[in-house]
Amino acid sequence: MNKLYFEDVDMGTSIPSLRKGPISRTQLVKYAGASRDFNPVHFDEEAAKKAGMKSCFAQGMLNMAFLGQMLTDWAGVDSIKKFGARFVAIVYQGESVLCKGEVKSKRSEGDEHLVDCEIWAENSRGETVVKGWATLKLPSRR
Amino acid sequence: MNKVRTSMTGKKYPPQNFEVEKGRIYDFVNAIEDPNPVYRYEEAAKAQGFEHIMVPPTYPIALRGEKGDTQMMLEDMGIDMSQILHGQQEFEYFKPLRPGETYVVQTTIKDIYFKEGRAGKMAFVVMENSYRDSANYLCVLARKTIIIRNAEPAE
Repeated sequence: MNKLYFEDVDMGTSIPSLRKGPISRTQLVKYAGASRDFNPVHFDEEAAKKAGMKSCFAQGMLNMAFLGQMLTDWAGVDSIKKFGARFVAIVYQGESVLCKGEVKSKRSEGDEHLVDCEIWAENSRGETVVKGWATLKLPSRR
Repeated sequence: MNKVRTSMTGKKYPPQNFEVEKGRIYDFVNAIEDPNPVYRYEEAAKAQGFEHIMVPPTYPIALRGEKGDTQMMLEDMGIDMSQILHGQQEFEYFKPLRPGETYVVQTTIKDIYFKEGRAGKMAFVVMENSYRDSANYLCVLARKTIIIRNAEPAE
């Protein structure tokens, strides 16, 4: 993997997008077990309908994990200082998730070189499902 | 109507201990379908300059018991799981979590507020989890907002 340096990015730099899914019921069950989130709306059709949803849908944290992978694929697994997400719409079982992002600003604080990014995820219908933000700490060539 | 007890603001739940285990990391990264070998193999992690197997950024969420923090809060309020949505999540990282280390996880209810939406009144419960290692070093802070639908304030 090529290492990403502070000097490699600028305001407006796009983060390489990442497509995940399509999300199967099996993946939802695996994620429920692995994360210990046993809310049945994610794997039990009846529970999902009772909660007013069309069918089972992805855990918000699964979508956030996809955004996390986009960031770590790009900048490395030890680069993230801050990572946030607002869950604004639903990804139903069977849909794919497309993760995207862009650098908003960069700054140096002491010997830390920081990059602020806006990130988001879209479902198969092109709706934004997650709106997120991240601050990455990158090494400098200088 | 779901009665949301605003007096629970500031409540601290008893700290719980969770070990970061390689097997659970493996299950987690398989579930999110992230093929990065630094989450799976010691040699791959070392080859990239890390001292140990790493965990993916959202992994701290998995350090909970059979009954998670959200469920504890909902049981205290007498509200059903089907009434909630995960509104927002944020992590701040100070030191990577390390397999074999046991972390003390503590949940605090930071804030409860209400908003009128299209679907009626909703309550926003902001919860914070701190993750401290055996040296009491704060490694991760996680903040989440749980949205409770059809909510009204109660004592």
